[in-house]
Amino acid sequence: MPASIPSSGSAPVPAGDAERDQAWAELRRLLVGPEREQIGELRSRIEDDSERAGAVARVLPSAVDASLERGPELRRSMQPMVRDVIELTLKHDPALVIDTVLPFFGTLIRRYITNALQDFMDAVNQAQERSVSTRSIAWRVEAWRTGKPYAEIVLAKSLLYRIEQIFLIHRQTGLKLQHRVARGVETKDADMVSGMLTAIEDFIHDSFSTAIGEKQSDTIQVGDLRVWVQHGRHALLAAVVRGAPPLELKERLAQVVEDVERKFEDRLNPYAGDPSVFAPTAPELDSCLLGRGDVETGGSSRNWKIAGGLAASALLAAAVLWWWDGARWNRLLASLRNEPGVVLTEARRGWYYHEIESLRDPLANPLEGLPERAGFGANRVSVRTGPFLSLDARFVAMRELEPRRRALEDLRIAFAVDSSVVDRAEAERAAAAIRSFASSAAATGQRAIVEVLGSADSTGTATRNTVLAAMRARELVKAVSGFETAGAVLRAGSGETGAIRGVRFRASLEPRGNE
Amino acid sequence: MIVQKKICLLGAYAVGKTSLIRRFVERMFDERYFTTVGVRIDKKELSLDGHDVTMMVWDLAGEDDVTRVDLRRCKGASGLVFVADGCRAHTLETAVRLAAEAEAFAGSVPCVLAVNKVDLAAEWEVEESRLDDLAARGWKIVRTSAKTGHNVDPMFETLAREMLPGAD
Repeated sequence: MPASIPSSGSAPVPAGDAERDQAWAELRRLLVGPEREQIGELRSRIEDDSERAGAVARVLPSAVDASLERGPELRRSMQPMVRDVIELTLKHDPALVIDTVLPFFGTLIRRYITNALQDFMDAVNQAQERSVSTRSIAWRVEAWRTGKPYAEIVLAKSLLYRIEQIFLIHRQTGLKLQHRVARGVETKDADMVSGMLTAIEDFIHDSFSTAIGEKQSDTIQVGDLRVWVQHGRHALLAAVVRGAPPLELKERLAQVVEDVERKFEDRLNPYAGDPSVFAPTAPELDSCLLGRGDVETGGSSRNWKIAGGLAASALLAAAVLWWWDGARWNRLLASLRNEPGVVLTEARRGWYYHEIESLRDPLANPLEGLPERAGFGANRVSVRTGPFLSLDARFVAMRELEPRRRALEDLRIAFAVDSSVVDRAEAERAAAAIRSFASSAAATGQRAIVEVLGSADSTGTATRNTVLAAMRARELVKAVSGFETAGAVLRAGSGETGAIRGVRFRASLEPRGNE
Repeated sequence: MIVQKKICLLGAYAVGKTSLIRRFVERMFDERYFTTVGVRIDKKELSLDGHDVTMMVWDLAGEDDVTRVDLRRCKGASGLVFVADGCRAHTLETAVRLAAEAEAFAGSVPCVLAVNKVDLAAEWEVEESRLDDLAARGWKIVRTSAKTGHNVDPMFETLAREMLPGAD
């Protein structure tokens, strides 16, 4: 470029040379005209605020995105500003904020209140069902004993339940990812059940315009069964429960969904359709197949267990009863064998009724009441007895005693007229009769008491006769005392008059040991 | 390896959606008409090209003058079958419209258009030119008969093949 070419319009130009100036201007326009226009445009962009704002607005979104990707610096620097904005908005236009947030809060609050009320109603219903029963008394005692609130004891004791099936379902497709069943539970096609459960859930929520939220739980009641559905982001867990489960179980299900989603998130979203990748969830799902108590299941396995338990209990009870009855029976037989004058000839033990055949001496103790005394109920033991004479010394003695008593009491010892002298031979005769009676009495365990009754005939005065009768009795006692009388006790009785001229005897017995 | 797939059948009322599924799953056909309420789910296990496929077939209630098909049920579907009745031309247009609407819920998944009741040739109403037009626009069209079983299995199997891993 020539050194004499002036710069763009600011250098002094010799006056009067208009033609040359025009030529120079034309030359400048031709050489640097486009650049000058661009410089002008750039200057206006830089200096014009609205133009500059438009340019920043065009790049701002992508600049924010890029910054967020790079790190948290932008978030941190914007946080105070955002906080101030929110604060300002709350102060100056609270109605706008309320209108915006209220629908969300309304839904949230409604959902939480509904869930809480449902849980509360479940608990109250269970407690109410069991509030008046014999068990409630026992629970009150336990509450008093342990110091725990009664309601806590009721809830802890009253929950009989069983989780029969657990479905892990892909939420979006309704496809079954895993299905676990408690032992003895019959099931339908789990794939179709999973699909229908999802469809029903969606249908219900669509029908009542309630959104299905993450971590939300629903309950579907079907007859005796209830299905607890716990929602996660990509999966849902459905537990088929029979009975009244404790509400803590819902938390357990929520925990399991959370765990599964954490471990399998990359395979749940998106789900490629291969359920085998969820096989490792089986142990965790199995841990949900809980149950407690004797809830009615209708399952044959459970019935068999109950029947088996009852049969075993019945057998045990029968064995105990049989043993107890046998011990009683042996006691009865032993007492019969030890009974004097009784011979046991046959004993037949049945399941309930027993029979005894025996022989009994008429002098033996009666057998009536013996089974009852051994502990048997009325009519459970039939005792038949046949006649029998025992050669037991006691019974022999008893049988001799009566004739000997009669012989003694029939004996009369005669005296001479107006005499109390005892003839020795008569005394010996009396002593023999007394000895005979007393020895029999001793053999039966008794002592013979012999009263000697003196008497006089009607001749002579009454006074004399009275004295004579008494003297005869005393003398005879004295005379007999010189002989062996087998321990008989002799007593001289009062006199009798107008009877015989001699003495007679009155015999009686008393147990040994009594003097 | 077993692969699970969800497919949905959509279309106007009484075009034969339930009958197609019944023919496919149970090998049966019933002349009587039973309207589907809400949704019905069936299951069919297939062995295709070395893959064991469990197809969960969702039969959505048909669309009529007062009831719209609940297209939200299509979420997560791996394939869609749009069913039209060859003897009622307007059901073909319903199927075409449903296809456009369903994409918002199911995404871009393999589809097939089943023009059913091909056994009723005397009452056929759908024009071939219209079918050619749709085929030219990329529709996979299969003429089926749930009553005779004509093309029913191939129609489902074609769709299943397209859904399998590695399919285009």
